[in-house]
Amino acid sequence: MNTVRRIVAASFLALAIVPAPFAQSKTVSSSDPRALAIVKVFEEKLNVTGLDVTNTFTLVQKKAGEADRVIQIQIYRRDSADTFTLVFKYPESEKGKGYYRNKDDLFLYLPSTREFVYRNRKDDVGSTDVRTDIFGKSDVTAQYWANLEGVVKVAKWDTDVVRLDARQLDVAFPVQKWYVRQTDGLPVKVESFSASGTLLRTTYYLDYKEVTPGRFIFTKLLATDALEKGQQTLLTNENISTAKIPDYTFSKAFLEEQSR
Amino acid sequence: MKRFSKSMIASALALAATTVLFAPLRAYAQEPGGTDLAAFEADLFAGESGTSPAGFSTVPTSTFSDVARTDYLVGGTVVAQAVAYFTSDLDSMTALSDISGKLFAKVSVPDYGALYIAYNARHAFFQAHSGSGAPPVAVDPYSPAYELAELHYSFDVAKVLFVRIGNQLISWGPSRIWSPVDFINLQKADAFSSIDLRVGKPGLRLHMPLPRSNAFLFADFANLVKDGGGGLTYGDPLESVNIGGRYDFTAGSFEFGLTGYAGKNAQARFGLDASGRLLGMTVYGELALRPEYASYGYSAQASAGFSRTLDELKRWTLSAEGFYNQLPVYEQIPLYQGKFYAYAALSASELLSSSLSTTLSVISNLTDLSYSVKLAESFSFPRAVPFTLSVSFAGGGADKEFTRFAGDRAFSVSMSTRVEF
Repeated sequence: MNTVRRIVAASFLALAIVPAPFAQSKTVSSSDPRALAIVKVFEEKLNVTGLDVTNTFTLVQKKAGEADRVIQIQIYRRDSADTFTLVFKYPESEKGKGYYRNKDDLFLYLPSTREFVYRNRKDDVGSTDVRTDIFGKSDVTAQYWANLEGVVKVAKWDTDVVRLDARQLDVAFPVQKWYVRQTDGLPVKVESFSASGTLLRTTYYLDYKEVTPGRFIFTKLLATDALEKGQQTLLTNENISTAKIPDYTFSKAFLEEQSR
Repeated sequence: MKRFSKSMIASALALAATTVLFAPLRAYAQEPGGTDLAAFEADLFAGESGTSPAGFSTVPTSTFSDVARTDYLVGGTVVAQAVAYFTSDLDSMTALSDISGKLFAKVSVPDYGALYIAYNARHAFFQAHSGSGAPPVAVDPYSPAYELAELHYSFDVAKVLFVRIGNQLISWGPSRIWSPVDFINLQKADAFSSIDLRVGKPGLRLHMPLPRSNAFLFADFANLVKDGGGGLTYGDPLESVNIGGRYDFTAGSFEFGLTGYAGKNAQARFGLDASGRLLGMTVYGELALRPEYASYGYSAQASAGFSRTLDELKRWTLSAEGFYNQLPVYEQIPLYQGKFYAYAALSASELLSSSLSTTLSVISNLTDLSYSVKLAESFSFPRAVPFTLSVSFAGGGADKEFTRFAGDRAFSVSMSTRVEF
């Protein structure tokens, strides 16, 4: 019997004594006012607070050696209430799945089991290179320390490079670099890094649409995976509308109804 | 008596391990645009506004329509597997290969709601036993077994109240393995099964979404129809229909649930559960109480667990769960037979190769001290059928929970693939 106890105890001990979370290399603990000003400008331009936004995202994922994967999602977004609802429309296998965010609470709805699963913001959308935290109101300064890292040319534009270091655990990436166009203050490129400095993903904002004076929504975005060479996701944003969305749309019940 | 050579089996396992460890790494494709980042970016932004980058010109768009229409959906999940059990002395072997799955069809009609039907099906391909001991009972290899899994009709009332009537499964409670607050389903969910082949319960479910919360009511019709010896007869609803209710709400980063279940001729049950994020971990727990009723004594059940990624790339995950079951006599079903249980697992995705995922887990009935240790390796090579190979070892003494089927210190090897469509 003692042998049995030892085996059971050793098994649990072996699984309990695992490496602690890898040490974070983050040492930054303050923000540069000039970087904060740049962040504030593009957040102002991209935050459509006060407007309801309805649009259709089409994501095309290219992966080496595999057929292209296409996902289409209907988006309902109300930044003033810090809420959004995503409903998968295509392909059929994903149809009915959706996300509902209410402030910090993010739920994934699974129609196959008809259950809501609590998720954090780090979720990928349909296993693509696009994260759920690109939807909804941007709140970079609450989540990251911001500092300037010079001026770099991206394609034909001079861009200010703003480095963001995470202030909290629950973010998509510990470190990001935003390349913000000097001509209009809009980001054109975002590099996402691990805490140790490994480049994980690069996102290019290829095009924007001005939905109201001074307010923009991106219409085309390309995300490239730095770890899986050749893996890219193109996101096309169409059918953009700023008409009032019924309150009911921002509820778990709406997601469940969409899957019926 | 036929014996399997230990050296032969050791060689086979070593060969399998070598195959796993030295599996070819995925051949990386070249990044479109080459390695010259500046040229790549110049090309990327060179197009007219509204055009797509090279390689994405064939993107299908506008496949979605806002026009309400009747939707038909047919699909399923099927698992094909082969498993072999060996006794510790290698003097006996039992092997089984079968296919099992859940197939469903659904039609949604605007303004009327949706009809959903699902069937479970199983069919054995290979049933073999060799060596000592009585052979297990086999199933007919010419007739697949099937049963109704779910059949229900759902609709809403002015988008305020959502109704589902029929045979259905209910998902209440956040725990992964032990779910004390699941008072309604006929069977407990098997967290270690690749597919949920439970049968739904007849009933009426009402769901009312509220601000930051949800209210559910379930009228349980399972005991309504009686078998009086001369066939099935209608039952008295006041005597036989039990009622379950649940209210869940979010507070901070946590979701809480309050659950109850009672009936005129049923032991009442009350449950509390919570799940959310804490200190970088996903944590959850459930507590269920059953007050004394007729010949049934008071009992309590509780489970708690967590899951945490250990590295910034989210490749290593540690998870664990524990279970307290005050009166095991109530639950003569697997994983509910002992008073205390514990489970722990360490998972690694893309270990050694992006095509591999590994999980080492241990589960133990701490009451009878039987246990099972399992190493599972999932393979997903390009242009090949993805599959999972696992090796399990069960011990702790003869005729205990984890050794009752194959014996003490027995091990098993299994291979399976899961198809979703």
